[in-house]
Amino acid sequence: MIKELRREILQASFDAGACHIGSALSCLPIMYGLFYEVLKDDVFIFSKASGVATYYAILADKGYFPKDKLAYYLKNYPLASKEVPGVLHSVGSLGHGLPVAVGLAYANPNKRVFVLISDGEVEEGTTYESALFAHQHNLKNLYVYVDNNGIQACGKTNDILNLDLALNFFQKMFPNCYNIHTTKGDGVSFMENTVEWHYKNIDEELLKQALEENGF
Amino acid sequence: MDFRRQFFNQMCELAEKDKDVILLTGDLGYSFCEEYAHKFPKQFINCGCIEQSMVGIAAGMVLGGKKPYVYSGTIFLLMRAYEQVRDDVAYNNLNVKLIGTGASQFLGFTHNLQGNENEQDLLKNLPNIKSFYPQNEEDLRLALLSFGPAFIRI
Repeated sequence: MIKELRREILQASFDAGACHIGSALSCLPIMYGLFYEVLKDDVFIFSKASGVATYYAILADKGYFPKDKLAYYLKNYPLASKEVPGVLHSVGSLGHGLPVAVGLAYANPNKRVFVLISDGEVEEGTTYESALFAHQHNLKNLYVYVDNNGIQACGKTNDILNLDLALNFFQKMFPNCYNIHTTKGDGVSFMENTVEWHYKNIDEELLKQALEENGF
Repeated sequence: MDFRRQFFNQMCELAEKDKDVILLTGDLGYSFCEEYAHKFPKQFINCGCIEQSMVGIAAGMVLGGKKPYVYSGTIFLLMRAYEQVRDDVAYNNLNVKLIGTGASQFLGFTHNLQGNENEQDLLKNLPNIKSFYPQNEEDLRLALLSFGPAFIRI
């Protein structure tokens, strides 16, 4: 099942000429766990805008729109947009989805609110601000997941800004905060743990290789 | 009467009538907000000095069914939190009311002696969000009761 989603993400990224494939694949295990095992009548905010191919692929699989529209949405709305069926709030710049999730959780104390952020977003000031607010108001219904793949746009995260201490702090401040160690480009050998696949578009030959590795 | 006093008086009326109304302040309003805060503790949050997140939080509250009014200095709402105003409020077209005190040179923080800054310029290219510059009590009432995202300078 997760391999089938990976296939759809790779194929749609090729069809749409989309980048950020490594970011999309790193959050796939978290997104899979959330959407197929955890989320019920809950609210979800996808803050990690660059991994949007995974979010759209799962929304299509959940029936929000036909799978043959996946590449169309990815091409026309390359950051999570509420023009796409199933998306609650449009995001783009880093650090926007978390405060919105905080507001949702405050407004609906009886509803669980889940939010996925990237390790790059942990560097943004709004993460610190949101942590202060969530702690002060004890937002137990807020669930923050950090896709910690250790690589940001121009290099290894901990070489640019070491986040180990900050993540410990945020896990204490948010009532529920999960620092999930993931792999950039997860499931495709030549993409794994590389900076370049934050950006690169996949060509036909590499697509074939990536799909073969996954049994297609 | 000081417009700030009128604002908090009118907010008392709104909060009384509609339990979804919620007032967020960025640690401003000393000597003006106390009556409201005392009467409607469940409809009041002093968010502290987290202006960027406060605007995002207000947008999330709209998605959660609330009617947030965000009170702060104009420079903090429109300059420090400009991207949140643009992305989370205007682009997402969410019914957040931003109430800014003073003009963009409030407190002299810009150190701009030329006096050529104007918050209307910051808002004119954004979609969905309306701007109000109320001149009297009735103007203010209409602005607060308008539908959709708005910036209201008092």
